[in-house]
Amino acid sequence: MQSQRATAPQRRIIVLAIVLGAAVLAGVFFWPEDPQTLMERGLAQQNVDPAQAEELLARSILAADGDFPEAQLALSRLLADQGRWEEASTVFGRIENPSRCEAAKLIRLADSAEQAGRLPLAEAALSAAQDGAATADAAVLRRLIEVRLQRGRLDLAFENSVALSRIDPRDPFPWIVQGRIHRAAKRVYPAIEAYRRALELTPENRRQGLRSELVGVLLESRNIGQAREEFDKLSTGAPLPATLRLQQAHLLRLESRPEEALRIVDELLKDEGDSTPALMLRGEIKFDLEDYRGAADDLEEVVRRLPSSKEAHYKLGMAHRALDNRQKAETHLQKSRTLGELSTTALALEQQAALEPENHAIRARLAELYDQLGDAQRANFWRSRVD
Amino acid sequence: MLLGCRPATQAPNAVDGSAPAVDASRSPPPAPQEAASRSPPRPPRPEDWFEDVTEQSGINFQYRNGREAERYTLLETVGGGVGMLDYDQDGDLDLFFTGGGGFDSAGKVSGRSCGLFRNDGNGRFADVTAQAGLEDSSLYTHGCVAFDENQDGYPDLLVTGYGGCRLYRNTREGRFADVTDQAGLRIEGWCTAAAAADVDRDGWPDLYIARYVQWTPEDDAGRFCGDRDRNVRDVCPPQLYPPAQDLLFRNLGNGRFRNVTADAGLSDQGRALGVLAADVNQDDWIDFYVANDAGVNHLYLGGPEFPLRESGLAAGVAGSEHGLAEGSMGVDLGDYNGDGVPDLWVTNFELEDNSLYEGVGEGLFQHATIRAGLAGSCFRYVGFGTGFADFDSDGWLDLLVINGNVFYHVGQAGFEQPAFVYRNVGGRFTDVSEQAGPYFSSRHAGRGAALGDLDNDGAVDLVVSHLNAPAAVLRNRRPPGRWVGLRLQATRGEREAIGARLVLLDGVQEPTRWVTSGGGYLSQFDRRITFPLSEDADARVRVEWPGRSAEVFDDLAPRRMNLVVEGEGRPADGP
Repeated sequence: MQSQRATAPQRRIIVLAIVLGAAVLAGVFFWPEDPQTLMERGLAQQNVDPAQAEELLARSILAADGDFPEAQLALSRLLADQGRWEEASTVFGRIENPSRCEAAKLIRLADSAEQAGRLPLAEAALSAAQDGAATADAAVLRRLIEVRLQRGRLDLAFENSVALSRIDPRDPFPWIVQGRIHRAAKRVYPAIEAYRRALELTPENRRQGLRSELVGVLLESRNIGQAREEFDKLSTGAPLPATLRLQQAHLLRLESRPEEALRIVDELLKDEGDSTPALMLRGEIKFDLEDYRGAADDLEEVVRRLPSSKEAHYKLGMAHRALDNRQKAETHLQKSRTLGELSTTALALEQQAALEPENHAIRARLAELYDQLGDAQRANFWRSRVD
Repeated sequence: MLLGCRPATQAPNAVDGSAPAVDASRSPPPAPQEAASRSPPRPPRPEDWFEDVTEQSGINFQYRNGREAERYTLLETVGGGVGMLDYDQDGDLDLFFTGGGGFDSAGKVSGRSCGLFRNDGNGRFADVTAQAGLEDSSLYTHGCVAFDENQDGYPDLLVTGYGGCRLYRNTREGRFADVTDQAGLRIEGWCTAAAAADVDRDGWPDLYIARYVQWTPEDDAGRFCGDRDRNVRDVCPPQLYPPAQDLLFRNLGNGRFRNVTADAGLSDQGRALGVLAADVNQDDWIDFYVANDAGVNHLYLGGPEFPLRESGLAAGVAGSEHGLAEGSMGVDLGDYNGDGVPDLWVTNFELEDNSLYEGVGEGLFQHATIRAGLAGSCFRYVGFGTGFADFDSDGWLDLLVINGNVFYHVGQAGFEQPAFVYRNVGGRFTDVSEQAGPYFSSRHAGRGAALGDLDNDGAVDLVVSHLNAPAAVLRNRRPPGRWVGLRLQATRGEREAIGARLVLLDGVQEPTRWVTSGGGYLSQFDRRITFPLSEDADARVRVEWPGRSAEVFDDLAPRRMNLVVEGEGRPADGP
């Protein structure tokens, strides 16, 4: 019988074929994918098969060793469209330099994020769009300022508003922003200057609201003469809205014209009976006029509505003292003292917190103190910074 | 000095849709620096209320705070005061200035000599610091009070500072001797203002020594205060340091004092910068009103027994219109509205109005800043030296306010700030600083100021201490045509009659004045009382001696100072 064994050359061919086959198979499985191609395939699948699109975009990013801003932005946007905001933010956050992305795409992501209330992502996207622009874009800067103000990032919003005022010197918006930020920080004099600049740049027929804000900050700074001057420009003869009437009464009181102030605030309360600031002011004016009974009545109501108002407790205590209601006077003065001490402690701790930004115990204590003081906004602010 | 209070009640804020609203609770960006608003110094005018006579006076003295060492400590903010006292009893007021101090290369606090200038009676002053034995640089000094510690008729001096105080006894030979140790006054801590009055009515003036905070230079090691974002360093605020308790010392009458702080029940929660001794509630016992920085002010009511009763809040003199703590510095007492009841006045930190507390009787007060027309004009400044005085001799007490920031860079209105004079017309004040003279049209780093009649013409002159700049001597150019001056000498109690009440019996306005100690900011005022007289008025004054009977002095000589001795008047009819 003749042997069926392959000859040596045949064996070599077979081995070679096996090796080549294995190499082809390996190539199929392990040959590096082209990130661009993968991304394009992913983008094409976006509206057809989002899951497939997500996988392709993820592979595209992987294929680019994790640094493929365009694909990362696309994936972030895809996740955002599915309402997967945490993942979208994470993906966007991993983009090494998002300003390399196309501004229009960044702005679209910011639009979605803002609409969904995802302000950090909106801010990040807008910031990237702004940073990547060859020349600063006023519209983007404006939106960035708005988002930053909503997020309470006043320092950055302030910086942006300064930049915006340079890009468009005729735009009142950045000056309004600066005025409000200065005012919120109790820097009343820079606030006044900023409001004045904004007013100069605002058409006459749109100045009322802004001027009212300026009057507000002038009153806060006890700049009585200028407040009067500006307020008189608001009084056109037409009936004044409630906010302006309250300002008017406040101003009259500071001008030592309590009778006129009382008339205004009386009318205001008649028309808008529920205004606690107006009630407080009327209590103060009645006190000035030595109508202690009337003052006590108004201030009792203020204290009922704002039980943590140390100012109202004090003034009420003083009114009761003048009425010789010693027990009530003592009660409210004591309450005011207690609240005042808490307030003083809080202010001291805020100074400390500024010096020790890593001290979480101080922040926790501040949140607690502001809760006791009935200042929920500030309590939440400090609470948000505890962790 | 620094409180950083939010406004008690925000003015109404109308926000329209033109820009988003701002959440006030968020961290703000840095503030741009701002200049004060008054115009540059102007040349003198004939109608000016005050003439700057510093150069002619021969006074060339500067308080130094050590700024050049760039330590940025709270110590640099306090500044110094001025004392008006007739140390040689020649009838003219001499001037004493605290000198401050500095820091050595290791950051250790060092002292600087104070200055004593003798009034030669011709508008000139001679530097007699060395010959008076006051060339002492052992203390970084702030305040001073002159009082007759040993009741020998010659004013002695207590000087306060960082690290304690010094008691200089007047030897009656033109010299002072440091008797701090013998007197038992070698104390620790950061002493600011002081007042001397007979709290226990034993005939000897006791001492109230105000203290600020517990601070050492080491506390600031590694600490950055100021504007971190702009990398602008500045002094640290007082809230960072625990308050230091004030001290009360009883004068034992044998040259020694005993610390009776615990018995007196003084609070340990004040950061005191100003103190005034007077009979605030008119019950014939000495009270102390204490201006505290970054905390409520205290009113300690005296009585036959200790403890003193702290009644600031109940009396209505603890803080703002709404009872809120302020950054209070200077203080004075006077009758601004002519009702015969004492009123109190306090200068405050920036973004706070100065506080006028109108006395309504029975030791109670109402905040009257707004209704007296004083709201607003000093709101942006940091008020220090102050005092009531009838600058224009119309019988109504006017007001002086000396301003200057504590922050070199980050304050609201610049480091140097304008001073103000307010004219009182019938209980309403008007800012007359523009007419007050060139000094008031320029800016200064003002601190203590003393008020008194340097040239014995019946008009109140001013001497102002500044940080790192020469003190200013301002002569009042509106002396009254007729006037009467009184220097009280009690014989049945403490000699200087602190707490006495004086009423000019002119049948018209009958203005009331009180003899006080402390007051102002870190300074000693002229303790003599001057009343302007109308052409046909008799110089007749009723004196209510503290805790004792009242007398009327009928035959006082106009246009001069009269020595009024207890027991030499005729008994008054009423109380």
